[in-house]
Amino acid sequence: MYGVKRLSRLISLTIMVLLVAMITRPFAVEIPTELSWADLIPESAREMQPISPTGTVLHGQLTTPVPDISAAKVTREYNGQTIRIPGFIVPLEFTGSKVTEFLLVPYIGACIHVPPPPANQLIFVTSENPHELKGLFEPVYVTGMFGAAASTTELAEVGYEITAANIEPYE
Amino acid sequence: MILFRVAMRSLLSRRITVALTIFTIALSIALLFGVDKTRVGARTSFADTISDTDLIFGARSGGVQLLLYSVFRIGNATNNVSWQSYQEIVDRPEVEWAVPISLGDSHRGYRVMGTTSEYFDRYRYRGGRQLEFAQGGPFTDLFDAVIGADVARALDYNIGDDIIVAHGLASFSAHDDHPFKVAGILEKTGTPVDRTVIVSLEAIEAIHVDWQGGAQILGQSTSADVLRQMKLTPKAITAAMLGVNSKLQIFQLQRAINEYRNEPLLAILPGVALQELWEIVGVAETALAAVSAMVVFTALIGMMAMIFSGLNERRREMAILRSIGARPTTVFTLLMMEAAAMTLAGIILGIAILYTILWIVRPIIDARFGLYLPLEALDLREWKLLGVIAVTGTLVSIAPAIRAYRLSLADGMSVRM
Repeated sequence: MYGVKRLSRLISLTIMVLLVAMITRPFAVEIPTELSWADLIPESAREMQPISPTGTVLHGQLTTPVPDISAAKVTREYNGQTIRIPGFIVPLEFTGSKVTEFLLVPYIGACIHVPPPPANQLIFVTSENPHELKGLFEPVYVTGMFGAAASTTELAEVGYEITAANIEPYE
Repeated sequence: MILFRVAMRSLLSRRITVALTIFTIALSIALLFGVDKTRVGARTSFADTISDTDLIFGARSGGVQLLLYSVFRIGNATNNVSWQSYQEIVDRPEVEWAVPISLGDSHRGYRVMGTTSEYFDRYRYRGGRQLEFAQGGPFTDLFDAVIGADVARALDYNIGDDIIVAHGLASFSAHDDHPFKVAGILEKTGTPVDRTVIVSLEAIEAIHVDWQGGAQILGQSTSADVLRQMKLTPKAITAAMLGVNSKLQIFQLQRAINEYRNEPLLAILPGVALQELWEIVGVAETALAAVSAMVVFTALIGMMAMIFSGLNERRREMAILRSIGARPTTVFTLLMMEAAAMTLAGIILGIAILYTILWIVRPIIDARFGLYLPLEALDLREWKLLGVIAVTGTLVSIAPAIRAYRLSLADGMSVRM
């Protein structure tokens, strides 16, 4: 008898918990927008670029950063949204052995033949729960509030940032 | 509950072997966690040494090497950076601030570093903390020096004391014609700054005015007052720390420095170089961790052997238990319980030993090696590891427990003893 009573109580409790969870879920967890790195290049910057006016690539020619106007363009489409994007961590600041500030990049160890990633392919991430970095080649998913903020320089360089990020391993 | 009391009593009756087994497990756990704490301590201490610096640049060598000599004063620079190159790079629009450093001389085993007084504002450690003066202040005169906390303590220096800088990192040729005065003593930071004598860039230049071709010109010594009037623009520096206006410009500036045409230079992100260093050191760390894990395993096997050998001498004990109605499964449970109790006791004693040792050696390690080991509670990972050890300890006793189960079916109950 006792067993049945306890079982029914357990079942009703489970149903209640489930109900509460279902009701509060949409409010508590905002489902992040999944972004890829290509999404960060605005439409206006996607036209074909002439590859090389001379048709030949000279040694060392491509490595010097060319002031590419289209590459500096950013999209403001995702401002204020919670987004999720995969990438690699270039650590900037540590707390103990955990990373608190880093640059999220689409590829690691920038190839020496091309300039470093343009502004619209970099995200400056600050994290509230620091991430224990296992290595430079560890891919991660970063979820957080997205912003395209003009940083305060006379160059009016713009770039992306994600604040209060949650970092999880990429699977 | 009765079974637990029986297990305890049984262990107590064999207290010497049990105590030794527990002690073995405890020592092995103290070793395993000690190695881990040291590893984490070393990493934290290294990572805490530099903060808020976006780039470091120096003569072209390796990223890790540049980081080690410029920040940790380990090893040496391959070459200098000319003052002109430094000026050109610092004038780039991305650069927010720059602090040059010049290394190479020493004072009684402590490195002497030439820099600008901006160093005291810009150098940050442990999550953005600034250098603070325990006594005095930054240099005002050409021959003023600021010393780190360890230098002051080890050599018993006070404000106003004279310091003679030696040429090179250890030498018999000193710059004894130009003594420095201690103008400031820094607070303890737990970084290599504690073991550094800081002077101005101009002072480094000044003490080398009378030097030519690597030796002092015999009999020539320009007086301090003349030097103070001289224009002492440095010809070269060893490395420089940079801050950028926007973090997103770091790669651009790094590339620009690496491709600087007039001189081969190298710029690094301190965090990345540090991570590269860990990847090198990581192999040794893993080896150490593996060895200490094996020690724990050996201790657990030792416990298993001890239980096994105990079975024989405990035949009578088992027989009595059986005769008063204990089932073979009870005997099995009893042995498992004993093993679990011993492992647990070993874990508790081991952690106690670890923290006692840590507490005792911490100041010594800090003073000797500049390694600050934090006395922190166990974190989640360590608790998990303890859990694994506890479970393994209980599991290894399954083999002797099965044997005891088999034996107790008949053994000791028959007449033959």
